[in-house]
Amino acid sequence: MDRTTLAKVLLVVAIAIPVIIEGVTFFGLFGQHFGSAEDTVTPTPDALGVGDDVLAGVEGANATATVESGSIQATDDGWLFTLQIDVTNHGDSPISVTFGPVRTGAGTTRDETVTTDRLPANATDSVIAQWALPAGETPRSLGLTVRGDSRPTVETTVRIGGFAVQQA
Amino acid sequence: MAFIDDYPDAAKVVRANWGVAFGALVIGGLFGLIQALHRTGFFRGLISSTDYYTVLTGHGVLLALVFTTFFIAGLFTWGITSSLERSLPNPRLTWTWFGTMLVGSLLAAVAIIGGFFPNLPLSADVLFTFYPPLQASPVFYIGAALLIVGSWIAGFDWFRTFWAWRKDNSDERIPLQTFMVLTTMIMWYVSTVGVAVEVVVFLIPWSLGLISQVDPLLTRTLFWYFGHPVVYFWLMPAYFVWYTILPKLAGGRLLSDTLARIVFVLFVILSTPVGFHHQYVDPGIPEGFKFIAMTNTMFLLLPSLLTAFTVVASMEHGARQRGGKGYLRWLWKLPWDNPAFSGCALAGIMFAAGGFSGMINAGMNINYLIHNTLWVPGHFHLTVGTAAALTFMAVAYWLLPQITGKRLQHRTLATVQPYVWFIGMTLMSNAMHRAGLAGVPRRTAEPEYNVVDATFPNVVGGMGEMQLQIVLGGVILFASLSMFMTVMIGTWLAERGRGTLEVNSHLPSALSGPENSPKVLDNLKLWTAIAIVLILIAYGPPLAGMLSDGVFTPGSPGFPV
Repeated sequence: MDRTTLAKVLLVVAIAIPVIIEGVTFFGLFGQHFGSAEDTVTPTPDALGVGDDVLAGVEGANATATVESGSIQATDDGWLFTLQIDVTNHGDSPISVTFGPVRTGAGTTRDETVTTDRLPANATDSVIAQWALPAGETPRSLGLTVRGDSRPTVETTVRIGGFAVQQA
Repeated sequence: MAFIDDYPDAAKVVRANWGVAFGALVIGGLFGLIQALHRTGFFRGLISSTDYYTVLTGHGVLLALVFTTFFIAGLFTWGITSSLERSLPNPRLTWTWFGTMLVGSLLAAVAIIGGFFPNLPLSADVLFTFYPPLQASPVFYIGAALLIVGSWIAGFDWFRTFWAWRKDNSDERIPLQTFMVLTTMIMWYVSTVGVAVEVVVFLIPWSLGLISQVDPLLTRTLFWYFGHPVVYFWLMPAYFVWYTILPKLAGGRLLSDTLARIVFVLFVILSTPVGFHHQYVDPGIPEGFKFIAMTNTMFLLLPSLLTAFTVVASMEHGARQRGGKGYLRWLWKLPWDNPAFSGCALAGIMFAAGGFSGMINAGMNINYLIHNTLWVPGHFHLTVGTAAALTFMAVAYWLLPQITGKRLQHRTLATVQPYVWFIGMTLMSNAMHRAGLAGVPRRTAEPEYNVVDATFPNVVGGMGEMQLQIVLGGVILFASLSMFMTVMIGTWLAERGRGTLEVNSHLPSALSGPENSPKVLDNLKLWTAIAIVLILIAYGPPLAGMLSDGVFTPGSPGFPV
């Protein structure tokens, strides 16, 4: 292939790539907004972060657990993930709430857990939990367990994310 | 006779500037590749997330400031010498500005790279937008100041050459290339006042501990006073190439000298009073002045649209000279196998896309959608990263043989390189824009895609697909850069006298020449005065408001990083 032909082939390829990408994007948007119901993407639940109640929507919890603060401190030894969570018992019997394990996006699991004091009805407690994660890995899910004296234990896992990575 | 034969001293100056520019290009490009691999998570073994910010700063400063400034200095030295047909008057002054810029660049680079070594008292992880409260070592600020001062002296050198020419040619119109160099430098002088005050009055004393705090809003404002016009400092030299060299490469002539002059006058007038469009979300700046900045920014589309018309028309003229016919079939007659031409043409196409995304950035309301997201780097990789950088690479294919006297080597590699750049940038920049629309932040090693993936209804393939496009684009761009450097180094080191150069500096006159354009266009004092008045209107009251509660208050201490 001579240089002139090569250049013209490359020109067509170079122009075709953005046209295809933009075309697929554009018609994808059309499909999303005007397509049939089956084509509509089902929104996945948001990852929970600072300010969110991680027990919201957990059936039978009868409690709230709001993330007051969360951060990831980057050190030479790894990344330290810290959560401060305020827990309030809205039920009429005492409970305790356990946070952990934490699973990272890369699949690493840290089994350490932190449990609140035994909370009487309408009482509030604040816990600080920390997990040492491998460097470069950010938390993706958090295990939650609500135990009560006179109700069944509730166990669930929620998606978490959006915590700022800071240099220690 | 090549340029090097007619003006050996000027050719040496161009080579020295381009040598530094290409060195910065290689290091900055490598940093870009590392960033793409790290941020997308495809390979995180080279740097830590803490070092990411050192790499990010190095990428931005070395490419956006050092590569561009040195390349432009070389290009303008050629343009002034060639179009005025005279050498720069004082070699000592010339090498002084080159030396000042070089020392400044080395100081800034050393300060940035010091960030990799925690035991060294040097660090400058302040990103290309180096405003407070992030604080760098004073070495970085002194280096940045010297780079700018050096560019000022370079501009003086070019003005001096023009004044000497004017003495001998009092009735002549300013040659178009010289006109473009001078207007670019006027814009540069006016706009760099902001960053000079920021660095000299505030940042250097602050980093030395002579003052304890600076007003972040004031210093940010001074930075952005310069931070947007610097875009035109990159683009006006690209326009210089598109207007004066590209028509010849296409086989034709520039359509209109007048339109070219009007475009550069508009840039002088409008480039600076626009900086607030980078600060739409900043408190402390009245909305009305943000609106003025938006209006001025939208007016800046005018010279770009004029350029699109004039340059495409000039290319069409060239294609028709080569036998092109039809409404669009003439496009095939253009010399797509000439990398100097194809690089400029592809850069122009991509600049059109950059212009459209720039309109989104400039809109006061819609800017909020993409502010501080990956959209913004996606945008400026189209403008400085392609419109300017690819044009500079393209013109290097044409000009390097003329300043070295050596025939261009590795022709096939050179032919392919602009297309590879275009494809790489298409993938990377497009994905960056889309990721920005999805809310992926910029300036972070940990963009937390999982959060975005949950909230963004995927249009094509989702976040993973965007990350793949970004990293693939980054790798292709680095491959293209390596191809370019192979051609440059191969040509530079080639034996002189082997084969004919196949290029020369002669540029055909415009179809509608300067004799048809109003003489007032050459009145540089008038345009400078109008530019200053517009700046006073756009910036005077807001700056007075910021200063009314004290020069250093409300203040912030530094955050050494």
